[in-house]
Amino acid sequence: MALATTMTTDARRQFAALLEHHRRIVFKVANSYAWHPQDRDDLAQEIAAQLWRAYPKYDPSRSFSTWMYRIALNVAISFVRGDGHRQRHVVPLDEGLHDCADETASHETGQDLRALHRIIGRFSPLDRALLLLHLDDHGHRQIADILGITETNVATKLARLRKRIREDMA
Amino acid sequence: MTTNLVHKEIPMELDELKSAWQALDRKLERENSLRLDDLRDRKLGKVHDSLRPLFRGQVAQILFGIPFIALATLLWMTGPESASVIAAGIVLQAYGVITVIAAGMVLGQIAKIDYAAPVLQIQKQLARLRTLYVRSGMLAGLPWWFLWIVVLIVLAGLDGTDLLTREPEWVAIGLGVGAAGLLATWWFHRWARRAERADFGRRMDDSLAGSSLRKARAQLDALARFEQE
Repeated sequence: MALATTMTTDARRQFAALLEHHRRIVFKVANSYAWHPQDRDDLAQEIAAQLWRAYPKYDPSRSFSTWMYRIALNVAISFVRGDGHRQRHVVPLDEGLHDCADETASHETGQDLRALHRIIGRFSPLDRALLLLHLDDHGHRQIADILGITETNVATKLARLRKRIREDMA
Repeated sequence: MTTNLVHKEIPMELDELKSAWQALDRKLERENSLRLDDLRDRKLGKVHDSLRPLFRGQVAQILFGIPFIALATLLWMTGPESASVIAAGIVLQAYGVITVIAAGMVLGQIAKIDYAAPVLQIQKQLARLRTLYVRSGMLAGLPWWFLWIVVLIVLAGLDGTDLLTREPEWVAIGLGVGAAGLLATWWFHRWARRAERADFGRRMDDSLAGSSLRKARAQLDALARFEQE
């Protein structure tokens, strides 16, 4: 926190621009780990705050999105596991509560989104991270880099996730 | 609704879920905004810091340990001669120092947490931190079965009184009570963890050490499985 407060105005502007550009990462992660709208909002803000604190140590030669994913997922997993505090609304996944299908979306899209969240909700926090990164079109190498496992492990786990989803939905 | 979701009209395969994911991405882009002003204005206090309770707990433990170091220092200033008073002073000072060091170690671990490191590495660090936190708390709490006697000996020693020589039965009874209490704690700990009382053991864990230690162990196991599979 102390580091963040010493950021120059330029650095703050730069951070705000980068965060704005990549903000969907924050929302996607928050959306995958918190079901209640208020918890999602809290989690998104907590991720943003952690990014802000960590930014002075960010190495520009490395990918900003990878850096951002690591922080966002670490904060989200800790949020779900209740490291130090708990989610305010501990509720099971409920399609009605999780307002993923908005009124403007088609019926089919709404169903798809509900199914997506139902599937995401079944996985452990770590498997959810893997699924999220895969759905976001990250390659095995990048997923391995973000999660800290080997590429082979990523491939094995994705094959298992694929099988489990197929079995669950059969 | 649930029945519909199981039917084939929704994505069945992992790769097919990507179109739903992209739809979600578009929706989130449209509907969400981050309160960047909160960050720019440094209103970070309003945002939860998940490690803050751990941090506060350790600061409290340091503040708790310091008076015992101070009390032992006061005793040294009086120049005690009795072996039992000197021994009590050493024990009390050691307790204060160890309590402070244990809390300092946890604070050191908290400071090392860098959320930008790979997910598995940080989650392991956090789980180990929880374990260390609970053990540090036990280190500060369990010795009190005996420590209250040590404190009384030191307090009496400040007045030049050797409590052990003056009231040996009283000190012996105190030590006996402490030993019995410690043994009872150990026995109860083992008894509550037998397989047939697993639920009770879990509830006791939750009440004595918080659910932290059990959760941390479970997390470390889950992380190891995730890494190995």
